[in-house]
Amino acid sequence: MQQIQSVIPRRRATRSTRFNGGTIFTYICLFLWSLTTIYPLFWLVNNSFKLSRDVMNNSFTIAISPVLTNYTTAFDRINIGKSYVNSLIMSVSTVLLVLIMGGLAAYVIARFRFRGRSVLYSILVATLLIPSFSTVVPVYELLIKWGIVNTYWGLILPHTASNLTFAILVISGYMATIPKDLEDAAFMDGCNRLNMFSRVFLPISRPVFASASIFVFLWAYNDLFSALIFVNKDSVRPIVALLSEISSQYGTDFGLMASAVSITIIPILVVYLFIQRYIEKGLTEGAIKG
Amino acid sequence: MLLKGSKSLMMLALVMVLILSACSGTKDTPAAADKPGETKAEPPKDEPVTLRVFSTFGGTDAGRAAFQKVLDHFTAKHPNVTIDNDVMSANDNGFRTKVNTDMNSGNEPDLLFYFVGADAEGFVKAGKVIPMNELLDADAEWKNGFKPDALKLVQQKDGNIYAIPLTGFYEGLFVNKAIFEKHQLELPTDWARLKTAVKTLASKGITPISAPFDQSHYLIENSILSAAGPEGHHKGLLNGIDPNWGKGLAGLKELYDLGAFPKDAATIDLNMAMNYYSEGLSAMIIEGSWAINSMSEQVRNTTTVLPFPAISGGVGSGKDIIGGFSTGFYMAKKTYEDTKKKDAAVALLKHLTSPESIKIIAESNGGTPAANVEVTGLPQVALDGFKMAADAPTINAPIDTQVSQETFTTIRENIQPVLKGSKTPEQALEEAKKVEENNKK
Amino acid sequence: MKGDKKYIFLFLLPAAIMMTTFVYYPFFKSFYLSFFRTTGFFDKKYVGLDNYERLFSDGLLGAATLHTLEIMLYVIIFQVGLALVLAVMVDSIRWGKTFFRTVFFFPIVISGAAISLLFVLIYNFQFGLLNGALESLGFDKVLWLSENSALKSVAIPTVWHYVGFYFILFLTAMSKIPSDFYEAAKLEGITGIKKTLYLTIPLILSDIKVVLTLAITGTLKVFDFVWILTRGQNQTEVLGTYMYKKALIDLNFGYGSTIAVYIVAFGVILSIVTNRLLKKEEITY
Repeated sequence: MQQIQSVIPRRRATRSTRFNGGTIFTYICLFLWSLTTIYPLFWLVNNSFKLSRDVMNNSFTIAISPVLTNYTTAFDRINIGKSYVNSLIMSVSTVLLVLIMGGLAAYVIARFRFRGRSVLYSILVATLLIPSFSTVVPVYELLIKWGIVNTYWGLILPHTASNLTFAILVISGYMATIPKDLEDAAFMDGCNRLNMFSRVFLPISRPVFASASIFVFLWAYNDLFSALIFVNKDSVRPIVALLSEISSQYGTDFGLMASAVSITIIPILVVYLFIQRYIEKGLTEGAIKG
Repeated sequence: MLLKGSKSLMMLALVMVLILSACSGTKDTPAAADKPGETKAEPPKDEPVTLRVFSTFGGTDAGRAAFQKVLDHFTAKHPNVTIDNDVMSANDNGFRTKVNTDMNSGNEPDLLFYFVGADAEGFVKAGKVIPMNELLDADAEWKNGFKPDALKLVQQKDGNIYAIPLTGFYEGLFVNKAIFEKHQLELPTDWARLKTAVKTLASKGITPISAPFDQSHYLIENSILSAAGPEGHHKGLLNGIDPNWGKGLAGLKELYDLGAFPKDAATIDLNMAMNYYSEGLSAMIIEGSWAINSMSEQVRNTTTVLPFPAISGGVGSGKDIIGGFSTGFYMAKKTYEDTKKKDAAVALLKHLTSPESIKIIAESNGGTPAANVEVTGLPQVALDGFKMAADAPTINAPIDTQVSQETFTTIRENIQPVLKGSKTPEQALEEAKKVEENNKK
Repeated sequence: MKGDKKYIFLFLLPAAIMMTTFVYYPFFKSFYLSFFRTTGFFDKKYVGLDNYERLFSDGLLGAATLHTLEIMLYVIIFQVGLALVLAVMVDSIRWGKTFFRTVFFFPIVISGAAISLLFVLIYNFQFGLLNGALESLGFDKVLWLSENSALKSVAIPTVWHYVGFYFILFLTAMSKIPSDFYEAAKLEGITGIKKTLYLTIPLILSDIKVVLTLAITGTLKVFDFVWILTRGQNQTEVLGTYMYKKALIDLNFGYGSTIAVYIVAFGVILSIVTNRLLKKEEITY
């Protein structure tokens, strides 16, 4: 993203003089779309202040007299502070592992020519398609055998494995079209492959590492299914497990669901806002100078 | 039939249990005792013990707080026991997976609250849990606390009791009396009255019966019972299709043609169906006793429950109901054979299933108690339900405990085509029969 | 380059170990199950290729495949297309980049189940938002999830939910285009749509391929919206829901795994074809 920053001022310098119809049209489109993306968040938070019955039957009215029942119940049921910490520890570890392992593998797939490369690519695609139900039982058996059920590793390892594919594909897609001259120049300087990865490709690819980490974080953070099976214990339970605390065989409490989802995602959005700025500011030096 | 034939089976099972326990008595302990974090090989009395109890009493389950209370009573009396109250909602698709994988991989909970019947068949057969017959017989006071029916209904196919029940359920036709009075309708106590009510309500723009087509479990179970009677209902599909099953589905089609079901019945789920009923948008719903908790108070107060009426032309009595005790506590064999845990686990099991505990749970979730206790503080409809269950000549386990899940899904999937007339009930059942045969091959 | 073999091996090793342990080994275990008839978790019986025979004569699976393909079409045209358009637009504006990048991200953060509930309440026949509006305007209520329209109604939230995902991937990809490329283009008078078509898109083609792969594989696993909105009724059964029903509701893991194998094979073929189609036009610089 930083490259955009470095590009834009120069591009805009000439264009800002004519603020044409095209630009206005662009802004109208973007604003319209942003309405569709902002509204659900508002809807969700709004409904978290209603009782289940009102969510069902009047979900589109504003909660004029908000009820806090859902939040008090949620706070009663689960140790929210501890769960955030658990979530953070496990999701961040997953992201770090994925970026390290995935980054190295992506580099190989994007910049090395070797036999079996296209087969490898097909295997990766296939991996994306493997449903979680078909892996969950054997993985759980492994975790039991190793005695890491209900420990942080019990979720970090399976999550790392299941997110690697996405990261490898996206990062290698990005690295594939980085100009060859850069590589050659580094080679001339006497870099070996490891140096080239860490000195050339890693800095240039920071934007894609950033994007990949956001999504990996999100998926690891939001994955309820694995969390319930692998780490269903107060001491390690992530915040998303709060969601499961609201459904039962006697029906689902939609107000509680809205509040649980809100509690789960609001911190993510705050962190995302923070990271956004960091990405833009901090990465400028990594830009391709062209 | 399930209930009648079980006595001789039980005798046989008792003998088997005696033999089995004679064997297991000799090769008692060491196998199971090496879990990390536990103190090793010392005399068992009052040693600190941790017991893992895995149940569905979590989330918004009505019995959640009550269950915690019952556990607390126990730990107050036995300070050396720490209870690891592991819960997961039965709605989560991971629940069955987790329970069965735990069972399969040597990670059994000490006590497990789980379904009886087909769901448990796997780990029961694999010998992961102990039959309770001997334990029950050895403690007359405990055993006599239960209604005899309750203990019968939790028997597995082999006639043994592996799970000790807490509360049970019944299914029925819940009726909003206020709507019926407003339109001067008689309560749907027989098929003709039900049809009249459906016709009248539909013409007034009120959905007569709130029901989803995909989650049509209760529609199917009740209509088939009311057309085929208890005996026909228990036949399953392997030995030919009882023609009365088709009559049950045809009865549903008759109601559908009169406008009985919501316009969007194809795509709503049970929650939404309940919401329609709870908001007074529909006059009737076929549901289980647990549904009482999710009705709005206003509707709950004017609700009563009736057996689904006998479909004309069938052989049902219109009084038999679906119900029973479909869940209970299992004890892992590993725990039972672990001398350090055995006594504490048995004590906990007896405490959890004592009349006092059952009363506390039943008062919280409105289920039929497995013990002879008087449950107080329940709404009128729950009392109507108990009376209905008491008056019923037979209480029958739902069809889906007798055919395989896949077979039952096939019937459910065919409800919409049958009602719309693109398939006949016979075709639908024929399809289900094929699936059943493949499954039991 | 010299010594590449060593690095190929070393760099791939950690990822390979991880995925073999937690993905491939488990998957092969369930692949093995596809030769069995299973009932629950304990009973299994070897049946050879029975499940595969069933696969090819299973009308429901065929229908589910077609429905999935229809949704895939919408996903590729609208989801990926819209994401690309939005990314180009945001890349071209001066103010509000951060704002749009942030708000377009919102839906992805909210779980599919919660968004589904929103759409349940929009489409509901009795009191949903749409029918409420129609009624207040004096029109008749419409069954939005009828047999004819349900699949399209379900496709709308499915497509909309993840536009922001591809948007961010595209925007990230565009960030690597060196600024002097644009300047050179400007000098030659290439601007606007032409610039997008002849410059931006070719330069991020490898990323577009990845996005298409993700979109195709993602659609094959679509589940939440269909499940919660229609439960697969009214011609909306897709591969994701069908597999779920077989594996987790019917507990027929044998056949469920067979469907999983089918989905994996189908997805690999689709993405290989897509990549072949795009390969001809690949530009390296």
